[in-house]
Amino acid sequence: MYKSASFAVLIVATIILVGSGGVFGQVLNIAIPQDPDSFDPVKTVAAATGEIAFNIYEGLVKATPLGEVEGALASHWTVDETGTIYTFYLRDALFHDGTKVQEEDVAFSLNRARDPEVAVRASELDMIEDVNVVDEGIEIRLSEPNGAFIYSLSEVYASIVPAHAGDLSRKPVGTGPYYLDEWTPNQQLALRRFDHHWSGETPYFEEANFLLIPDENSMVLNLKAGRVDLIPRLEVGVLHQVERDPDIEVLSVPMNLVQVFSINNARAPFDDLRVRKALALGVNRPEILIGAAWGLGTMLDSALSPAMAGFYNDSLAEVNPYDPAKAKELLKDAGQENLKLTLTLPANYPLHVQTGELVAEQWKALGIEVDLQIVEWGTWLERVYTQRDYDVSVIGLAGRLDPHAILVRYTTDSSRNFFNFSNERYDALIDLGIKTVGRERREVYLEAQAILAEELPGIFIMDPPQLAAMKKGIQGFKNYPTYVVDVASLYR
Amino acid sequence: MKKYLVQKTGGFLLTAIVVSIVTFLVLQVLPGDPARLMLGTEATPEVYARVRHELALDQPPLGRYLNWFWGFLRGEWGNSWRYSMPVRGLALQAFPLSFSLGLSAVGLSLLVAIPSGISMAIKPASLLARALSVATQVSFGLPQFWVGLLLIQVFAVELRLLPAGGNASPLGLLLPTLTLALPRSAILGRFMRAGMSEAMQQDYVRTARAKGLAGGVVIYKHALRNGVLSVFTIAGLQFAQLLAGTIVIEQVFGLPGVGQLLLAGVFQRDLPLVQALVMVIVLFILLFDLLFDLGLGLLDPRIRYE
Amino acid sequence: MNRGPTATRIWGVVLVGCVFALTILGYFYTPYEPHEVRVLERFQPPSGEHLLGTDHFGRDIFSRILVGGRISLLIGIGAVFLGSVLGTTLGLVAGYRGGAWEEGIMRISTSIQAFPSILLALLFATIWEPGIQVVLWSVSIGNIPNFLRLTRNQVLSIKKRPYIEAARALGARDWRIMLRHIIPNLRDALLVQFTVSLAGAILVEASLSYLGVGIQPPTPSWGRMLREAQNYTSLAPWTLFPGLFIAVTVIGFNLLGDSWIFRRDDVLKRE
Repeated sequence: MYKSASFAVLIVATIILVGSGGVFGQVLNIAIPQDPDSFDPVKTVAAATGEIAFNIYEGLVKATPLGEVEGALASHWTVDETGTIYTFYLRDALFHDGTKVQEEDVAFSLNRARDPEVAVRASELDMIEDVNVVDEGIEIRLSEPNGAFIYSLSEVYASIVPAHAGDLSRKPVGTGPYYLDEWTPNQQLALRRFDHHWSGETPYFEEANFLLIPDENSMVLNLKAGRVDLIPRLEVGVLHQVERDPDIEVLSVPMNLVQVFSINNARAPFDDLRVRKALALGVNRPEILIGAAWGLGTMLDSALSPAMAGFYNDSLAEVNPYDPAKAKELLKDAGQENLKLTLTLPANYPLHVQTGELVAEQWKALGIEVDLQIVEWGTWLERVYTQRDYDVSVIGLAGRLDPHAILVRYTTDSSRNFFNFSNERYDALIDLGIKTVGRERREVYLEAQAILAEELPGIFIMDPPQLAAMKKGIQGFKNYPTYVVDVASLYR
Repeated sequence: MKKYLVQKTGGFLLTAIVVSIVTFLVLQVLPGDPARLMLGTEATPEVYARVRHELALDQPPLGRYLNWFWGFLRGEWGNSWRYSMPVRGLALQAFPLSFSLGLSAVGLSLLVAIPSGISMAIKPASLLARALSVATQVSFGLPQFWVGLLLIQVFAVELRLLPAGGNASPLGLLLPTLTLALPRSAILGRFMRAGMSEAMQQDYVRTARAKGLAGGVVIYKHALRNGVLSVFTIAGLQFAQLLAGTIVIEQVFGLPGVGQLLLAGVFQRDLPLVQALVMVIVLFILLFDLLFDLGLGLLDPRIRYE
Repeated sequence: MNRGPTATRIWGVVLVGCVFALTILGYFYTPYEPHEVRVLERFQPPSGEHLLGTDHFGRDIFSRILVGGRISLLIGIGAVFLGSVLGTTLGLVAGYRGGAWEEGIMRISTSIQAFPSILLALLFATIWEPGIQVVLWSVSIGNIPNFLRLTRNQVLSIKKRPYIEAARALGARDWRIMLRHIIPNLRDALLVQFTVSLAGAILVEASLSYLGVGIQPPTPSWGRMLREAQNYTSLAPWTLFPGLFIAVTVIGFNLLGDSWIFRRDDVLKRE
């Protein structure tokens, strides 16, 4: 009696085990912590959307894991001698609804993307003067030469959609290797393989499910239980739970995110460079790397991450070394021995909260009185970012392919300059950089980074570790310097 | 009877309206506005102004509220600003899940609590009662997320018997139900026991027994009724609370319930979503209270609802 | 029959007493500074140096527990007490007066239940800055419906009893009746609810702090410490010690409550 009962249990268990392992049909289950917002390329801002949309939409060009761009819907392109007229030549490609990609679709998509009445990030394409269909191609005219232009075309807002498309926010129509089959908010998204992709290649996985699991411990358990195959962004705090698991592999790569202590340069006494310098010298970054990032991550001295290999200035390590004695001196010089400040932290980013807690203790050692204020995201966005009503805060600034997009934030007139930083030379450099190409461009940005390190709009801390955890056997994971998951390159 | 129904419905609507006005006002007062939250850190002032206009945020509050309310009555609940999806669809997906979870959790709790409470009250010195007492005490101290994660570890990872989450099927709801029911059955058990004990200590009960009047059965019934009175009151409160969503459980088990939706909506200041959810919750709790009070009247004739 | 203190009461007093003693000790002495970060000493197991080990920042857990008790006890006892007083009063009025009073008060109760608690907490955090006031008021208001409904239902059941009706017929004043007859009968259910709410309150404080509306770091609270330890249970189980102290507090109060509820002989025992 016992024998047959336990046998039955064994059969049932095996069936469940096998079924959950996804042996029947190539299905990939990916865990994400947050829902996308909208799949309309010109309306979306959430990183979670971009991550998934990378598989659904394509632009004229797309990003490579090395941070370059290569032709996607455009097979090749030419630039004229003035550097202001680009002509793109389309390859044969189909949209998910079966229609052919025409030049008119490209013109439609790009004109839509640069229309501020419709597109949220239209300002990023304001270097474009005109988009026109010419013989066999699309001609894009710029107002002046612009080094960042080609990179902008790889961003999600420049994705090519059909001119006849309906509401894209829930029913995207793109040209990518996968299409969106189903989206149940707060639960999951299902992507299915598009069998007529222009590359002619067939990705291994027929189906990719993005499962919403807000809790990081739960994500790990789901990975171990076999319900999830891949966690593209594992929280560093739970790394230890999978490190020694023989069934799980973890890849650690740079996130291309700049974690920075933003200082309100327009508010006394932080308008005094000596005070900002003191704060910078009082930060012990190795301690933060251990305490908040478990010894992983890369220390930063610049507003760019080393992941931007072509432009990163790696000679700035000695500009702001850890020197509490000097910091105290500077505070005294500035007459701020009894400095009191409020450190505002966004509650929804545990990494920044922990970093803030650690630095608060480090600054207390200098005699500074630090008042920690953890606020929820809406309040942070309003108070710190919009109203710029704060002393010091911590935030991460997402990486982009082109340095201009990252560095323009620190110019005096940028609407995103919540540092209230202002430096004439810097403004001039950024202005110059966008018009330059090649080697000179690199020189411009090297100097710009040096200014930021010296003048301290904020204190640059680290590029946090990005940890991708996956079941052993999953191969082909490609890491990009942008926030994406490339499903087509994965196989088992 | 008709008058009663009309009065009742009127009262309900009034309460629901007041609650929804308060919700609206609070969402206005909180820092951070929906347009800004939708656009994140990338928007320019022109785009921000345009989105504000599209969401009608530049209109005066009173007009917006009335617009929304009128639409709600007509069944047009609008689109969620966060999800670009009709609010009604989102709600229809989340409520049945929270409803079934709440129902099964409270149901299971009652199933366990009533017998255990009786046992603890009648024979407090027995081994069973003592063991139950200890178990009850201990389950108070265990945090829900810990219990949830532990259950997943044991049943999904180690034993591979149950899904690790995200599943709204009966099997998938088993672990979350257990996690929710554990502390709640302990609570209900205590109320059961206290209620019964209290009844058995009534002066007039002791007098009756001292006089040698009808023994066990009458006392038993009386004590039982008193215990169950408290238990059902609390169970009702628990269910109402579970309907409004249990965020921790939903996050640990990846369940798309009302709690998660409401939390996301509040943090994004997603007015259409939050307003609609709150309205449904209010109306539901009001209805539930009414049914409950009527049920109480059946239970204890002395409480017959006037 | 006077039998002296029962085992239940003794244990209750001991447990609660210990918790209070430790908390008071925290005002005078802690082995280390509770805020002192020593990142290189993170996740040390309990030892002679650190009685209960160190946390993810290398801070001494025992010192933090000594100091953290204040918040947890304040919220647990204070907030629940406040909520119970408000809720019970309203419940008494609702049950005893009936009619429009009852209708109105029950509607208030429903409104509180239906209103999202996170929204309430955010509102308070906007009015006062995030901190203990926010948690105190959020928790106490959140507890009102429980006490309210419990009280009102009991009152409805009791008020029809012959001796109450007799007292009213004799002209006794309402509040006197409530005080002498009704409240003593409620006592047991209220005590149980109080201890139940206590447990919940301590843990709710943790969630609120985590969401950014409650206690700000580096002030420790048991609930918050427990919440922070969530990720590390397999790596450093000693980070869960705050949970033990919460449990001891809760169980201690439970036992105390029980010792008052069940202090007389359980009559049916002899059957």
